[in-house]
Amino acid sequence: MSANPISSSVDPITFEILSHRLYQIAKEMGTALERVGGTVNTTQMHDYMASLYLANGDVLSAGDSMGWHVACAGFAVKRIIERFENNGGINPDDIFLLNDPYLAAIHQSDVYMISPIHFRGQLVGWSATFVHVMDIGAMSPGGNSPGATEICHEGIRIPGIKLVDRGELRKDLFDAFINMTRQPVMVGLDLKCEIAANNVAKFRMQALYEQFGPELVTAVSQEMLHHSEAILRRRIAEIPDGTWSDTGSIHAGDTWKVHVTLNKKDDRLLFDFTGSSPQAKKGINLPYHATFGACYEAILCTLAYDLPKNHGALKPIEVIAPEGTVVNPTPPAPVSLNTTSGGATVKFVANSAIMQMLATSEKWRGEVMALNAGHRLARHAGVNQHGKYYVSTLSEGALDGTGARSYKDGDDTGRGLSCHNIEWLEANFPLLYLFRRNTKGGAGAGRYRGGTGGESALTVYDAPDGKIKGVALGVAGLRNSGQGMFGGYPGAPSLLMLKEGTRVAEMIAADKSPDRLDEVGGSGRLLPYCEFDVGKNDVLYMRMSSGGGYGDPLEREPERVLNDVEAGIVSREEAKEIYGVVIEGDDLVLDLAATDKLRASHRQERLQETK
Amino acid sequence: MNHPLRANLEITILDGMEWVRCSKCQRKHCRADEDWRRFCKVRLLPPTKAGVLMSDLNGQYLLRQFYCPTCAVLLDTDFVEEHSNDAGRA
Repeated sequence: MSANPISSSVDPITFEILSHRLYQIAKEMGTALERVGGTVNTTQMHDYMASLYLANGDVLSAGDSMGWHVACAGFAVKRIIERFENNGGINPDDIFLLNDPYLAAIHQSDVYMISPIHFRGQLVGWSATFVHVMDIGAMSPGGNSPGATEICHEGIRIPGIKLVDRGELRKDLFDAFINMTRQPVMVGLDLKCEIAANNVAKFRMQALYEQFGPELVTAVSQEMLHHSEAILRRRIAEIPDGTWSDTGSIHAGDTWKVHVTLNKKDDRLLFDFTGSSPQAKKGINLPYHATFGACYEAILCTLAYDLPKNHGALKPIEVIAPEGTVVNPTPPAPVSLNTTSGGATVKFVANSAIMQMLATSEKWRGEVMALNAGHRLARHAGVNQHGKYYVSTLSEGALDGTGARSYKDGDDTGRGLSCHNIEWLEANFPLLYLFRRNTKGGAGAGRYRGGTGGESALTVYDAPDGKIKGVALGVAGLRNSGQGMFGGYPGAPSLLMLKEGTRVAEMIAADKSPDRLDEVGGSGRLLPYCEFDVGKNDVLYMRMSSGGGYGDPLEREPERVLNDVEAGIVSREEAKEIYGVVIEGDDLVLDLAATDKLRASHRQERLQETK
Repeated sequence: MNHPLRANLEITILDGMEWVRCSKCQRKHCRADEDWRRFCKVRLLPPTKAGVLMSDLNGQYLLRQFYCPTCAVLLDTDFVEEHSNDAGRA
């Protein structure tokens, strides 16, 4: 591998133009998914992926969609080539469907559509998309099934079918697929938005080939892979060799551990998950390709954040995941809960090891940030106020607070996917929000504090059945906020709580809008992975995780603490006890002399060990 | 040649050996192949010392903090299960 990121005869300007064109095509595929799709997952949460591949299935270009799906769809393209090249053929305008988690998908709800791209009769590449379809015919509505003990409980599982044959939709297969779900119309729309996005890719790529010729497009494509690989290897080589590890846990009745050891030598990274727990009879297991993809995403978000997402950035990475474990299960282990449990935990520990590694590099230590493993959310289903059965998502997990960085506070909300619009939700489903806002008192303390995270509460309103069904998922367990970094405190955990037997219906009937949970009365219970009912006297409270802090809170600038007290993020008592900052009077005046004295006193206390 | 290990800790070479050192007060904690946490002052605190919203962790976890024994800078914070061996180690 040459150290020079541009090695071929392609001139740099042409390289920039064409590589950005390929990026824009992948982005436009995503736009097509959003414009044609109709479910909250696709149009608001952005729970999708759209990307381009070389003729052999290697990743060529991805837009801004999730990195681990970009890697997994590469596996999917290769599985389709293996299955069809000598059995039914791969023809122009074909589109294939695959959602088997033991071949390439992460769980069945993530339905991949894969389309060959031909130019003048020759296969020149592939496009691929996934959307998280609204239902997949599993035990629980929405696909994530807490009660599943094997994959056969988790819905339709297809190792590869040709859904569009030379441009003709195979309606027999299409109808067979959607009729196995609880919401055929919306799932049909999901599938059609994927077909549309793959068609966009085909038309744009064929136009690109027509304009620039196959030789130049091929040369630029190879150059893009070389470019990402060369720069990533150079960056890895800049960091001292070493070994770092971390362990995360998933709580679902029992506890499962995900352990990683990251070994960095020269310009290579080896993620070794030896020591992780045996696979579970609970859908938290993450297939190997998804474990690999999660490590790829961790690299894309850190060392390769500014590089084109392609196969070149995969090459310096190796992943060992022992078979029969939660990070490389074998059939019939269930997987339906995995993206926000096993997957979130793998990403968390992989990122944690990377952060420890970056901290040892003078050049890269500034990129270190505290990590968050939260992301709880829920599906909901029932008969809506318009008399129709529905399945949808409460995507509050997007309101997790991010961890602090080495140079700034975490973002208060906005980790990962996007959150749904409340007005839209209330217009379509029999739910009424009591509040959605930033959480107070949860942000992990530090020299830089974590993001606050968000909290929401809702109840059932105008439901013909008087109730709806919910499915709780995500990283269950009270340490799911992750960790602070280098002394920074962890943020408050994410939790889902159902308050039953409340006065909420009575208060709403009296035109009162409760603003606090304690106003509505009733008794609360935390929701692990489970199905649950929400009735008109119940309140579903969703608190997302707050981000962890970075560094010693006694080193935080007192003015920043004052700002947080003014904003209600930190109480005056916490300012004193955790940050050692003294704020006096009703008009909140900072007392710097008293602050210095209090901080000195806190440091003395620290040297008195407790056992 | 020094290189950072993490915030407030660095690796330094003294007398031909690599050491973990506090980058605030220059205290030499231990050899680079040893666990520096074993040479820290440690406190185990109730979870709510990290904020009132940690109350759900009461009775299950303790907040554990590691400090430089000389300058008292906070080097690491984590949660440890209350009845685990880790909590006893402190």
